[in-house]
Amino acid sequence: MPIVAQIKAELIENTYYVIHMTGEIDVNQLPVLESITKPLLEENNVKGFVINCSELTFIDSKIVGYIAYLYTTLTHSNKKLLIAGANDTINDILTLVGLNAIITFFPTVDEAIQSFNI
Amino acid sequence: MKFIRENLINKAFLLFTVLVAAVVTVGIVLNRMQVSSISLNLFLAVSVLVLAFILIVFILDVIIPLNRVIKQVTNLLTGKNYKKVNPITIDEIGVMTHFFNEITTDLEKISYDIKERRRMSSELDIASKIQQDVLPKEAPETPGLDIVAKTRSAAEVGGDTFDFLMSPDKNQLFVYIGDVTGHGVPAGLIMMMVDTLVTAMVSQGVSNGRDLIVNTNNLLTPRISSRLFMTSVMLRWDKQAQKMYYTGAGHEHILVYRTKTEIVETIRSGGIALGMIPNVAQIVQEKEIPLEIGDTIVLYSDGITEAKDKIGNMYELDKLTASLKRHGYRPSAESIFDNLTKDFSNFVGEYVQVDDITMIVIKYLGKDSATSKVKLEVSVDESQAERKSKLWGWS
Repeated sequence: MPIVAQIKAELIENTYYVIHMTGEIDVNQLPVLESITKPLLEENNVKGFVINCSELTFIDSKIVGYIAYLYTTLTHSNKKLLIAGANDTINDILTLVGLNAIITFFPTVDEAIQSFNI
Repeated sequence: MKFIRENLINKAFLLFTVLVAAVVTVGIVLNRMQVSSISLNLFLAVSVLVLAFILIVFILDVIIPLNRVIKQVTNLLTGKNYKKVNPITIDEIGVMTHFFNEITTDLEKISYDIKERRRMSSELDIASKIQQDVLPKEAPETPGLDIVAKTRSAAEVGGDTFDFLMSPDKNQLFVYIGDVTGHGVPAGLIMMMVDTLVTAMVSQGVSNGRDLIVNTNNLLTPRISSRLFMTSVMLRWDKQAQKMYYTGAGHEHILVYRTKTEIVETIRSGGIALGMIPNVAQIVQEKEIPLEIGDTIVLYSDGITEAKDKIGNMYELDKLTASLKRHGYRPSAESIFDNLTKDFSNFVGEYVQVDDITMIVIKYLGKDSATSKVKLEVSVDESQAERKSKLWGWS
């Protein structure tokens, strides 16, 4: 049974946002992803975002493009974007376009959050 | 009073009541004055006055407003110039006048939308034509290589591209495929920018794939949103040395069918997509693809691997690879291409194309083989109606 596509943001320690993406996220979910994440980009107290891919089964090129946009926008504000829990499929998609060259990947969300404090 | 003003029947009833009241009042007055008879002239004069009053009220309140709106409705229906009518009553005629005004406002809006759509459609056709003109119609003769390249857009303007460019000294042939995020006009504009930049740089003597990718990225990134990017593979064929090199920019895998072993190698293109970050010099590399006679290279866009069948299964890399493994032995690039696309068409069946699709097949025939013309096809010259119903199939 396919996992229902779902996107939600969670504020951790009042400092990091974890973006949980679940199921197949493609261009149809892009407006939801934008509406959730865009306001969060403006928050000054936030040090960075972690995209939790542990329940993610597929993303298309539009979502990859939006992740690149998040990376650029956050980097301009001296904030970080990290990716956590990507399975082989997601890892392949992100690696194929070269995002692994600019974004750090972590096996779990906890490890990604810990890296903020190092 | 509002009760009377907003209904024609109530108005008629009021006027009739006025008429009856006038007759009754005159009768009562005459009776009290003990007038047993009045002159015929006086009776007629009073009657005419009362009827004239009723008639004037009827003309002012019903006939004139009705005529004003009927005249404009007639103009509208017969295609003449019409204008909006200011409603002066709040009865059924006022409602009809208001309705007429609303209808004409909507008609004007619809008419504007139709004109605007025609204009946009015409401009899209022009953009599509410009894009066709940019894509190669023929390529330089390439001794040793047999090449087939085809692209099909999902919309009037596509985001996939390919090109064949010969260096000014005629020693290097550059073959590249590009795929901009999404499809349609935004993707098409970026594709045009990249095509122009690459063509200009090759003509100016940039002689390796890495420099082409790095320089294109340097010029492209500040000019586009980071949400849009183009993945690409740049092949460089050294004619004299008969060697093939590739530089990746975050594109799909490069497939190589090895004739000797009958296996398909999948090579990660590497690099990072064009337009994502300002400087890619540290990420991008040019590497060799060693080729033996009979080996075949396949470049493709994700419109192929992400294509779905009617129940939503994706074609994916493994099916394309398996197809190449079955058909890679064939003697010409065209026969390999035809069979790859036949397998692809059989898989996707009736599924309607939602992304641009492009494939390049290059077979290495050896230096002494007969020179063959590159076969190119750009399927972007169909009318919009045809394209909408177009199935994925290429064969």
